[in-house]
Amino acid sequence: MWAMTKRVVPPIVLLAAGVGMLFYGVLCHRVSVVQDKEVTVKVAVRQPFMPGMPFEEPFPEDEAGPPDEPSPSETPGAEESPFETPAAKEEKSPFETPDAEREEEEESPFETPAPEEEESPFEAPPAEEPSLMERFAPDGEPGPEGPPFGDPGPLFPPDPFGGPPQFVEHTVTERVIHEESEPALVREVSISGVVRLANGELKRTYSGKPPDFCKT
Amino acid sequence: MVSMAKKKRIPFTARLARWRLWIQAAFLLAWMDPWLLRMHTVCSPVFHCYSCPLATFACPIGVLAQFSALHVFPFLAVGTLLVVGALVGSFICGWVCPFGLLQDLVARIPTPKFQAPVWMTHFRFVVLAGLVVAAPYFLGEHHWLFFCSLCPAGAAESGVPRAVMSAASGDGILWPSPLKLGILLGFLVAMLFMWRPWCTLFCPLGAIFSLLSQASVFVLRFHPSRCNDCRLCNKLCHYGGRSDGRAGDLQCIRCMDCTRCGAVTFSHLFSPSEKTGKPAPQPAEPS
Repeated sequence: MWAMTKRVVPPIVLLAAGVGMLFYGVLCHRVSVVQDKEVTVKVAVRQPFMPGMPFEEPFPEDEAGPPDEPSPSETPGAEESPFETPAAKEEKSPFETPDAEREEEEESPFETPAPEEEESPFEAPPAEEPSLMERFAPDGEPGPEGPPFGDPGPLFPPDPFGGPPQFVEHTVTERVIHEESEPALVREVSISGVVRLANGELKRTYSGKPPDFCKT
Repeated sequence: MVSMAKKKRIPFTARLARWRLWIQAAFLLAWMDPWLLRMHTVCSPVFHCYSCPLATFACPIGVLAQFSALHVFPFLAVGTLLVVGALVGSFICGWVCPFGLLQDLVARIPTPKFQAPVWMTHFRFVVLAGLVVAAPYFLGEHHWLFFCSLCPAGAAESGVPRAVMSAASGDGILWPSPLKLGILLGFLVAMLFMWRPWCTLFCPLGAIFSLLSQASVFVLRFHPSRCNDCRLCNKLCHYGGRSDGRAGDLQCIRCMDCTRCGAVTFSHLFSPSEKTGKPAPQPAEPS
């Protein structure tokens, strides 16, 4: 009986230990693995108040200006108001300085093209472009030839608030900690996808591409 | 009738041993992932490189070395080896292992074979303790002494196929490590002049299974009362096995060739003992 016990007990103990290790390894054993993950972050960019307008001075100063400052007309070489039309410039102001002639030559980027004839700034623009009706029916009735519409321009007026915010994408490296099960770790070490750092942390290096260092 | 009576009875295990190469080849198919399962979350009990393009499971020795480098105890790999080793011991080496099959096939080339001294089989424990556990633990996985950097099975099953595949695809030859390739070539030459040089001298997995064979459920049992000192079991064994220590020899791979001798039988722990058993069968002549 003792001989039988001595023969049977060791394999049974080994089997039990092996089965216990398998269960523990599959179900309970978790290992912390860090991974440096590149994350794309979207950052909103501040828009100018009105597109196409200088950002610093959205509105023209009062003509008189602040009481302690000289008015723009008094200041030699003062910049033009962006709202000033060329026709208005031609009307000689009694306060006009000789430098105003030079200002006329420097065109503002926001100026409209100067009309050839002198016109009132409050008049309607010259009817150079066909009206919508004319565009639609140049000869009085819609013709089959040619595009029925020219460039109608923007459908909506520009958004005074700069429209929807624009985003810029930045790539940021983020450290993620995975609690990996042992089967997953076995799979990752089989492709040399996990290394041990000097501080004792385990780091996942596998990113879907072949690893730099492969034993084979 | 007379001829039938004279015909000696060959045990079933000895008859099965004649089919051993075919059984190894059938197992090889299972390890080579014919259904593309890639179950690398599971350790196999054999020495088969998981870097191989055709590997179903993870290599237990590779996992032991890698986990040792990570300083994590490999419960899955050790549990697998304990369960398989406690059940069948080194039967795995003789019947299942694909690298053993390669050595058996090369050994079929008729060249003179030499037997290594028995004490050299203890190198396997040095390899297990030194290259699989200690070197990765203290030196890390990028050191050239890391076991997978030296493994001839990895070179044969992964390095060479990958070099061939890269050459065939026209991307230039992706040469494996020259050290590994040299070790593989050395063992291929040694296979011509020794029976299973890797298994008997260096295999760390063989070392684990040879220890577990001492206490496995299925065993080879030597019956002293049936032995007539014919030395047949010694002649049948290619690995220097001793008849009196047959069940516990460290170098035994349990190929079961020796079961042609009636004094050695394949049995399990719960089989009836000699006292209640059958009459001793006559030993069969080696074929």
